[in-house]
Amino acid sequence: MDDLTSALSASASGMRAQAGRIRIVAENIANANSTPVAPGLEPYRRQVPVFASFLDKKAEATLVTLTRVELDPTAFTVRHDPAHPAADAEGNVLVANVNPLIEMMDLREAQRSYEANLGALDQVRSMAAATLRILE
Amino acid sequence: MLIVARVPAAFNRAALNIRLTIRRDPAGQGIADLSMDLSKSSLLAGLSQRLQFLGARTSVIAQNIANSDTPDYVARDLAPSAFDARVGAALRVSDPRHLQANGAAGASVKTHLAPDGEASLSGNQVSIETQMMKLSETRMEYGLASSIYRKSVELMRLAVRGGR
Repeated sequence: MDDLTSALSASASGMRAQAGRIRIVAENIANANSTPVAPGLEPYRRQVPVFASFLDKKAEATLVTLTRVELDPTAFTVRHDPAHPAADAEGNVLVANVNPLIEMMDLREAQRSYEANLGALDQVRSMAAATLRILE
Repeated sequence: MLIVARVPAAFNRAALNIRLTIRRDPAGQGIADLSMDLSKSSLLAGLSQRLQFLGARTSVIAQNIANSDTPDYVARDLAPSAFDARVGAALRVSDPRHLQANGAAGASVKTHLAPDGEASLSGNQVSIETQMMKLSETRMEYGLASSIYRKSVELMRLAVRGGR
């Protein structure tokens, strides 16, 4: 595979990985207020995307991939709400360990990286166009 | 006199390999092959090598940008000197009918680590700003080299048409 095509594959893998990250952040935000259905059960646990680079033999480039999604081990938020069906004996309810502020920052960073990959893709495309203009 | 102009179907990136072969067959004298290979012109060969280098560097930078959030990834770069070694590694040919390969095919390029400033908490050492700057620099140089290439081919065409 020639270099410009490898560059396109690398940018595409970056965009795919960042899009996966945005999806996970969206899942976290959507579940920020999730509670268990009954006492003693756990609410939604925040997901953390993990990226890894790998050498793709076909593309001849170091691509990036969303290897796995891990669960955030931090403690759940406790809310006092005795009327809730999942409230324990003291009237406390466990709420998902998601901080919307952190998620928004993560979303912004993923968006920025996605745009950088898109910019790289655009530059490579214009280089390929310059090569084709030699034929004119 | 038989004049055959052929353009190989394999268009290897910028290496526009136009070959003009003139065959003469005066009775019983055999075929004399006078060929002109544009890729042997030092200007065009140099430019196509430059385009190949810039293409390879673009690929390295695109990989850095793609890995800008990968833990423990350190930015890489490509030096022109490392690329010369790759272009020099061509297949050895002892007969004109052998396969011609200009080293670029299949050979790997030796990149070097070029961390951008401080590392983040995850150990990643890529700065998107620096990489974007390098990318636009490479893109401009690529545009320059390909324009010069195009102009030289145009000049040659002008000469072939006799100034018309």
